[in-house]
Amino acid sequence: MTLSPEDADARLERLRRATGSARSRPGFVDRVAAAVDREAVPDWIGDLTRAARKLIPIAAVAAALGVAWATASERAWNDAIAASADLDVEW
Amino acid sequence: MIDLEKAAAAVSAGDRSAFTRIVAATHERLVRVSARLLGSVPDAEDVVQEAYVKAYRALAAGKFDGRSKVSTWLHRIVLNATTDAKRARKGEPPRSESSPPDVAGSTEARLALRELGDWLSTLPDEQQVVVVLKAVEELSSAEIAEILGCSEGAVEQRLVRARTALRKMGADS
Repeated sequence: MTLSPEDADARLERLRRATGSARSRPGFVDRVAAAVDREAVPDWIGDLTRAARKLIPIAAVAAALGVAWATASERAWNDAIAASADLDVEW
Repeated sequence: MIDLEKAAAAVSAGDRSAFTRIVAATHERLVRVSARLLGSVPDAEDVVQEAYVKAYRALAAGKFDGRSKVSTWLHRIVLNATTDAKRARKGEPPRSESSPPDVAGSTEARLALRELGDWLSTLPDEQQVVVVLKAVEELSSAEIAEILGCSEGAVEQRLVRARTALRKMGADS
């Protein structure tokens, strides 16, 4: 059986009007807030995370400088070792 | 009416109470949309609550990029959760309300929700969503396209297909 366009549209319109008053039961917002509270991390952890997020660029620059310094130090150390190997030490 | 974008920014900055204001301002429509798809207010409340928790988690973690409006983003989360719930509960009847009938709408509204949910469940998921958003919630094709992340043409096409399928379904579905 095929409904005429009017039949299907009329049914949809009737159901639209009849369901327009559907709403959540009282206390829904409070229940959501309680669920969010259970989910939320304690404030101090949240503060720490947000602060840490802001420090990421500084930490990245510090890490890059650290790597550059370590590379330069290693090169200087190797040069010093190489230079000392060329020395004729008299006892 | 609160500014949802500002409230979302406040949540991202650690103001949890701003999220309650978002819920208070948006839950009526979101629960109604979900109930119209699921056929029951209690089922819709469960789904929408879970969707809000997801949204809070994303905002608190700074994962909401602000590319879409907050209301559009919330609709998207709720519709995805509703579709998932519908798939998971396929074959199970919608939960009936234990509260007095006048609490969550009239008996007529509850029966109509059940009838609408059953009628639409014969359609593919994306067509059900478009029928509810366009023909029942009366959103524009542009709004629906933004929520679903598709073109307005795709919205119109889904609606035409859905209407055709509903007409073919027969009066006793």
